[in-house]
Amino acid sequence: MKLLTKDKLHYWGHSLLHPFDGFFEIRFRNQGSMLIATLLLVAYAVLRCLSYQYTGFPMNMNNIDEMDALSIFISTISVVVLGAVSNWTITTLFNGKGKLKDIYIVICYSLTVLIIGDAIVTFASNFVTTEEIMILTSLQMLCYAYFVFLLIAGLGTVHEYSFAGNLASMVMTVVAAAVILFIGVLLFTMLERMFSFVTSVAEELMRRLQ
Amino acid sequence: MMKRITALMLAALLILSCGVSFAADGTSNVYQGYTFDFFGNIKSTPAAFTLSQIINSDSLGSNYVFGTVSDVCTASDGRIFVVDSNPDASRVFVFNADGSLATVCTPEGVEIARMNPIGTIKMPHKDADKAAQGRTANVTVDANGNYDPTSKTTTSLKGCEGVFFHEKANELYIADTGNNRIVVLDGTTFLFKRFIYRPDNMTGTTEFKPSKIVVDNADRIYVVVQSSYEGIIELNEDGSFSRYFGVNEPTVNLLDFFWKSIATDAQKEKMGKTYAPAFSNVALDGEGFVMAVTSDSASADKVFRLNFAGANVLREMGNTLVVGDIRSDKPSAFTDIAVKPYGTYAVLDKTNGRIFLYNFDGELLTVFGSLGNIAGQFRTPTGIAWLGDKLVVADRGLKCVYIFEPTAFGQALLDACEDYYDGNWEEATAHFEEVLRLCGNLETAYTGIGKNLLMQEEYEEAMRYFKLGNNREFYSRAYKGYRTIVMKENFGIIAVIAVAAIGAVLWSEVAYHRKQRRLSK
Repeated sequence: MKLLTKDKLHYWGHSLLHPFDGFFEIRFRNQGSMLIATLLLVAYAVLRCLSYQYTGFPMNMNNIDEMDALSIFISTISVVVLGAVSNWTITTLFNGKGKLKDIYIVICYSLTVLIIGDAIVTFASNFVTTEEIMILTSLQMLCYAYFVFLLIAGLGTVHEYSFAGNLASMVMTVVAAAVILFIGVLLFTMLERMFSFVTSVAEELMRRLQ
Repeated sequence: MMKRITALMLAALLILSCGVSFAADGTSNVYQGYTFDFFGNIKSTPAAFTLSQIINSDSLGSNYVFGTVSDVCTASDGRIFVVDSNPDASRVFVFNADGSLATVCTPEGVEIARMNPIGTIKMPHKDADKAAQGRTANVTVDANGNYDPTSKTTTSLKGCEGVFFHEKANELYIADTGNNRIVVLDGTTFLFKRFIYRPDNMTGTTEFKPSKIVVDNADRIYVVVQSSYEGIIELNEDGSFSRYFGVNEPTVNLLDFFWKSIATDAQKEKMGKTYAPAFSNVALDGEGFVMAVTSDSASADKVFRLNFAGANVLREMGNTLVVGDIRSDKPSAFTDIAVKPYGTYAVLDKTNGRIFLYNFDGELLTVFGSLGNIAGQFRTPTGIAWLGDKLVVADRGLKCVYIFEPTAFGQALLDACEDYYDGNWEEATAHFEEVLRLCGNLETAYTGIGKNLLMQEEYEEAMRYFKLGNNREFYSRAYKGYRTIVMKENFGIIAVIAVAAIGAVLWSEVAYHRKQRRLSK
């Protein structure tokens, strides 16, 4: 099977401008591409790092001396993955037709808007004064609004939900994400304690044996 | 064994040498200062002030000891007035600039200045006449309403909390808190002039217990009463009541608001009322504005610059707000403020024993001071005043008054602020450069230099300095100028690109429509 066909590339663009139609094709005629989706996600994560550092000074409220590109990159990716997984866990319980792959593709394709918006804002912010920042922030807001619209349209289409059901599932997704985070933190703390217990026992043994 | 001893000695040496290296340029690490950057991080600065002199009971001679040192003020000729609010023997001590008990007054005046051992004011006869007409105490009057002009009359001070030297009229105002009145003395001889009692036309529920006083150049008297939520009492020159001034606003907690909105009247009765935070001290700035501080943590603002209408017009243009510590668990509680004629002010925080130095724009310069028992540290700091470029700080807990003198760093800071305020840009820049030579952490100094460069239209260099000073607003002002110049210089290229872009769009439109028309045929 070819990873990337001309059709799949076409439906990436098509789904951004005609989300209901486009995401229907992706879900039910197998026109989505994991490759494009993953590339978009990586591109977005890289762009987050770039905009942290290269947003123009008047608009950039970040302390560049304390920048940690790796953590920005990983946290961006993990938020998307967490969103996809928690949406999947909820929708499988509530008769959603979408597979994990479809959800992932919907989210990542929607990111295209943010990539375009952030790139423009990051670039243009190097040529503005504080009074003109407002223009850029409103552009950014527009992009976020369109991103949310794409998400709602895409997820509603792949799960075959009504509008209200779709919104409810998204709210539940947030709850599920919180639960997953909580369990994750719990697991890490437990592991850490176990690890420190084992190391201290080992240390004790070593000292006794000496 | 030998190895261990060597290691121990090495460790001891290391620790000792650390201690020595901390006390750089002969100053104690007690005064190592810090400041905050744009991101709220603590950045260290060198000591801005060092202890130059301590005035304590030893400086008073054998006759007196300090009881409760509760306020300090200075005159422009260098005299220092210290209030002892000891309830048994309240006194106002007058010191010369060198810290010796004042001897410049007349012999009688000296006696009055010290308030003598039992804390009394001696009244000269002619003034006792005036006093006898009012509700003054302790004036012997005969049956006909006349008093014996040969008798010397005395009255005592009780629990004084504040003192103010009024330069214009050469008068010393003493807040005689325990006696609910203000005592006015002559500024040179310290002979009694008049009392100011609770005005008859005073409204409100505030008790007239003057704690801190200032008198402005129009002779209006501003009186702070501790824990009064009605504001500062403003009196006219003749001592009549004018108004309450500068009512402070409490912050309302959203959660409290919610509970109060659903509570019944009976429940509301039991809840604590949210009062407007009280002012703890006042001062006058060089432009005649009243500056006040509050130690109440419920107050939204901590430092006030009150205009005539009583609104807070404090400039907060710095990278942090004027609230004192932003990285401490315990919020700052300001007890006093001292303002230079050029607007640079020092506020005294009693929770952490800190002195915060802000310039006219509200930009934090440096923070120093700490709580402790070493000379120069504070226990319960109560009052602060400028003595030239020196700072005088009274401490109630340690029963002493410290005089701090600026270090090279502190002097450069003050000079820079003064020249900047006066508009001497060149000198200010030179001082700021000196500041930066001694401390590269101070964003205010970078901004100061940047502003001078901006004025000279050296935009690129100004941008560099504003970036270092993390000042986004001024950076973009400089950038605006820079951008205009670049646009002008490269107008040809930019115009060609713009025309080409518009042309390309038009051409593509035309071509598209032609194609459509051809297809439809």
